[in-house]
Amino acid sequence: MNNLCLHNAGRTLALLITVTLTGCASFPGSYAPLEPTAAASSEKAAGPAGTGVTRLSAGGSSHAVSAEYDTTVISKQPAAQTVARAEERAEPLFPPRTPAVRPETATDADNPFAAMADQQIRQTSFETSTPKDSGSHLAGFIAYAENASISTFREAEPRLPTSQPGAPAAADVTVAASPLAQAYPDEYIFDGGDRDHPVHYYGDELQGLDTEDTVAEFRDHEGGNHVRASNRVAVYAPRFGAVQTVSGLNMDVKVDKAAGATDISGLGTLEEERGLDISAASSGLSGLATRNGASGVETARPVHMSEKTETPILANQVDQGLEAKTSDGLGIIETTSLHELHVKILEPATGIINTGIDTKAATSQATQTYSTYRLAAMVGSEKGGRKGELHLTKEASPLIAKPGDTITFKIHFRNTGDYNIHDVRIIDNLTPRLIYTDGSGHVDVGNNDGGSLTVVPNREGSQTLIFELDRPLQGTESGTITFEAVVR
Amino acid sequence: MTLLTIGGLVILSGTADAQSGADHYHPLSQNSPPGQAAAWLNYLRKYDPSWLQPLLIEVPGSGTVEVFSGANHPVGAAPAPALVAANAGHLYRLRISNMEQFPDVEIYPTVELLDRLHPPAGRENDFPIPVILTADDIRTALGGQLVTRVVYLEQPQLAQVMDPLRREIPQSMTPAENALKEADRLGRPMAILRIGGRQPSPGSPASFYGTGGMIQFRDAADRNEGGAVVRMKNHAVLQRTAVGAATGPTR
Repeated sequence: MNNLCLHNAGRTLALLITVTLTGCASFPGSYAPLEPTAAASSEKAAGPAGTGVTRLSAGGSSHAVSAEYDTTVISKQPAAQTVARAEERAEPLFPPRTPAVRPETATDADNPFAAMADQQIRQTSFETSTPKDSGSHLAGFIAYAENASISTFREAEPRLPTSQPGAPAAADVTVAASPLAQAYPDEYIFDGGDRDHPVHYYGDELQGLDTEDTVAEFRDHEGGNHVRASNRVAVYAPRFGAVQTVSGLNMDVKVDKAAGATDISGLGTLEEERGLDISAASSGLSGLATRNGASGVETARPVHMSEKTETPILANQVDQGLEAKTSDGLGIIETTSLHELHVKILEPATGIINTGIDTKAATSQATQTYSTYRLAAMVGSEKGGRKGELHLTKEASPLIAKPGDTITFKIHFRNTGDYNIHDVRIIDNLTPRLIYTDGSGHVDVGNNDGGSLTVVPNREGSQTLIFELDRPLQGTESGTITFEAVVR
Repeated sequence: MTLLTIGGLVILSGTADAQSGADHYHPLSQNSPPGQAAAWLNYLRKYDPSWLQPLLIEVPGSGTVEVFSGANHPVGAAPAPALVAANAGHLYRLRISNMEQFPDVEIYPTVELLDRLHPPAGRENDFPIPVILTADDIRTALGGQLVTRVVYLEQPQLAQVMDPLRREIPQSMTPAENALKEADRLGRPMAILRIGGRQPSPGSPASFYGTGGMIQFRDAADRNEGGAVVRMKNHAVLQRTAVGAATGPTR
């Protein structure tokens, strides 16, 4: 831990840290030089390893500083050995000092380091703070680093490694027994993630839920719906099928005849051509000229007749269509468009009036006031914390299975935000190779049963498991879903 | 050779990635000369000769399994079910004898190993490719017909909904259809098993006994109990249209 301190704080800071956490046990109030006597050595030997150095002075050279590192921070030798090494030196590295004398006027309340005298270093992180009183009793420290802030330790915030349940997991991560799962996916059963079409909302409907998908949908504190996918797990479970043929001499002959199916398809083509002929003949029915010719009228008449008969028909159709459209359209437009126009006109008019007033009021009267309100609102949002977010981590055990084996799945979920998230549903659409074991699923939220499970068949011959939480998932709260499935 | 290479690439290059090979041109079929498909794949993929893919050879009842590989004497023998490991990309000749249901009968089927699996290290023997000879296969072969069975690794997205421990009749196709193409559509072709009545003669060439791949007999004690084979009955099984089919097959 001490080594880490050096990395973080630097040499000067580390020296201060060393003195702060070691020497203060003997000199809670002030620093005074100490003779390297046997008494002092025994005192250090009784202390914990690595904390034996209590000799610092304003006159310490750079060489002395490096010696400090050798004997205190970097070295992990026992304190007795440390003292022995120091005593073997030809000349003392540090000026002698007198035994510690606690000033009568000093109290623990006045001394910012007194409270830390009995503490041990437990974490590696630190924060800088200004001591309450940097008076004369801190002269020894200030001589080394004047104007430097004093470092104090506090416990580090717990951090979750990615492999820990509830830790954020990337949706594209695949947990498998072998790294070859990506290269040969047909040898594995996958579950989790978001395969093929991404899960999304189309209106209020959830779409894109393919087999293997494991997603969670939730609503944040602002009412927005979100979908998050878990990571994938890959279970090595190859399965085989077979296709066979039985052939013999007779069957070969039949196969040759079956190949004549090509000729049949050729006939189909001829049928299509006949159809074209028939359509041509039907178009020929417009040869009204024969009938007109029978009436003995002039030869030009059939042309007129045909033109007239065709034209009116077309004209009628067009006219009717136009009339219908125009008449109906006009009627509709008159009724509906007026409303629309009316509304449109009214709304912008209203809006313009309102916004105009607002704008004028804001710019001309109270610009500063408005900006002050906005700043206050921003501060309020920061106090609220992070937006609710759900992370899923999926596990499977075992990762190698044969048909008939049972696999236990766990889905760890965690709200990594500070706000609650609502209507949490975690959906697992099982692949056809997995069949859910009835009664094996349950939801735990904070070590309590906190949800329900609905099993519905999907269209792939397997099931979709829908886990619903009974209550909103609070900020930083986590839980686990467990269920079993049999490999088919 | 260039044409062969291109054709092979088109047909057989995609194993795990290109599962829907139905739209491809398939010059190879189950009727291709034994060993041709494996030789193409071996040429294209250059299988690691040090890797031996386990095969589990089962016969009806009890029997003796011997394996030849490019020579007229067997590499070894083991009682059925026999777990042997072999190089992918080669053809092997089997001799099945001492069958309980077929005394005094010897048949010489061939196994053409097209591909291999990639199991986690140390678990290779747990996932052998099943090579199963049924009593019907033996009868058919003794009747003068040839049973050609293409064993494929099932594509998980096309997995069949059925009991994994049920032994179904293999999906049958007419000889005019390309069973290798169908297997490529449903998954990844792994092996071609040919069961016929052909018997070796003293003058049979060495090629009759296979192409010389490495063979190793392994302990069958840790074989894949229960069988990993799920066979299809017919095409109708492929159509998983029933919404309520989650409870299992209705057949």
